[in-house]
Amino acid sequence: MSPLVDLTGGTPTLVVLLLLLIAAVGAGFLGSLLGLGGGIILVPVLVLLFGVEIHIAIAASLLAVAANSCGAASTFVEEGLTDLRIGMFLETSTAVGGLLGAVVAVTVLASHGDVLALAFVPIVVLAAVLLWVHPETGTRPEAPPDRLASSLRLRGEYRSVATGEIVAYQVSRALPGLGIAGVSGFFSGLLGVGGGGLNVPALNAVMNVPLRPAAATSTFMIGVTASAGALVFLFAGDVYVFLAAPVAIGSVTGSFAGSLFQHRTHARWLRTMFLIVLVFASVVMASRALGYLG
Amino acid sequence: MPPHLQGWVTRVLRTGVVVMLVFLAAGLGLFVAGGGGSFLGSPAALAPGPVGALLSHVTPAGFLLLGLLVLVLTPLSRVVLSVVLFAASGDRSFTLITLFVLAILSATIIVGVLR
Repeated sequence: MSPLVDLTGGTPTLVVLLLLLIAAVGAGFLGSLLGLGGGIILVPVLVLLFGVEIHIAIAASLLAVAANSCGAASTFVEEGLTDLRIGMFLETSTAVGGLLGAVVAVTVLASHGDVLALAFVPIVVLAAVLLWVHPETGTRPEAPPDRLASSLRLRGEYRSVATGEIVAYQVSRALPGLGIAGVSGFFSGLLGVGGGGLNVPALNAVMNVPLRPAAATSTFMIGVTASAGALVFLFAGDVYVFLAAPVAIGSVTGSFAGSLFQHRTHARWLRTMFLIVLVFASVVMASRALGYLG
Repeated sequence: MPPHLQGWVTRVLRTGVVVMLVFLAAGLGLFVAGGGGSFLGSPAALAPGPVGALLSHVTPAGFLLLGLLVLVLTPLSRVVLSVVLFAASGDRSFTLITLFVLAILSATIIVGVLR
């Protein structure tokens, strides 16, 4: 597939700028709405429509994801949706994972863009399956908190949009959650996808955090994971500032809109959209990978 | 962490985003005003020499790099702030957890600069 836009001067600067902004606003909007950070949409868009080499797309995406996170997280924290303690607990493993993933991308896989494109597919399918097999049940007070979650007092509360009531929740299975967050961080750094696709199921289905605070806490965590990864790409010289800048601006703009809209979104609708986006991204990247093979 | 302390986290994130947006908008404005060109022309390899050269002249790429540096340092500042806030609220285990996250991020920068 040949790109629709020539970034090297063939297409007028203002047109390219406008298209990059539109793509990033859309990805940022969906990213913050769903708590996945936008990269899962942005990387395929930059590669397929703008003809950007995948390492460069991943580097730009990580910066956009970081910008998206900072913008949306500030609103979520203010509203009390984000749980700073649970977020910081999981950041210990996502930060390590994000760093390792980015290092693998810029060293071992530096000349293997096809492997990176293919690696996209299982991670997206895994995130979709994780959500699919664990239908959201809100809070499950019967799930017992484990010893680690109890000793770190990993619990929180938020105001439900549907009922207006304060809903309390208690974290269970803290250690498996920490493990999944580490894997999510690795793929975030490797593929520039933010990691919400795994963080949200880890928080929601595994650790028993209701979907809205799970999405808000994931958005908050993603900023640190994406920054750690982006730093590695910056040091490796894979960041093209004229590409990364409009993508970051568009992403943060979209994320503000998304976080405002999220306030009025019911969890079930959010989940359905989340799955549609995941499957869409997976199909696009799969066809690209098959194109390589065929 | 007490709710009134969470306001500081919000403020750090917002300030970082606004400062980033100002630098990026200035850089892109200069880029367009100067006639534009290739979007894949200036990779920014973070090393003291090239960064110094980029930042010592008023160039579109210099403004953009500055904005992107503010961006990656914003979550880092939020982690630094969290260490202080957790310590101030007497939460020893979370002060240590946050210090660990800070150590990972600092190691990334130190290794990158030395490489």
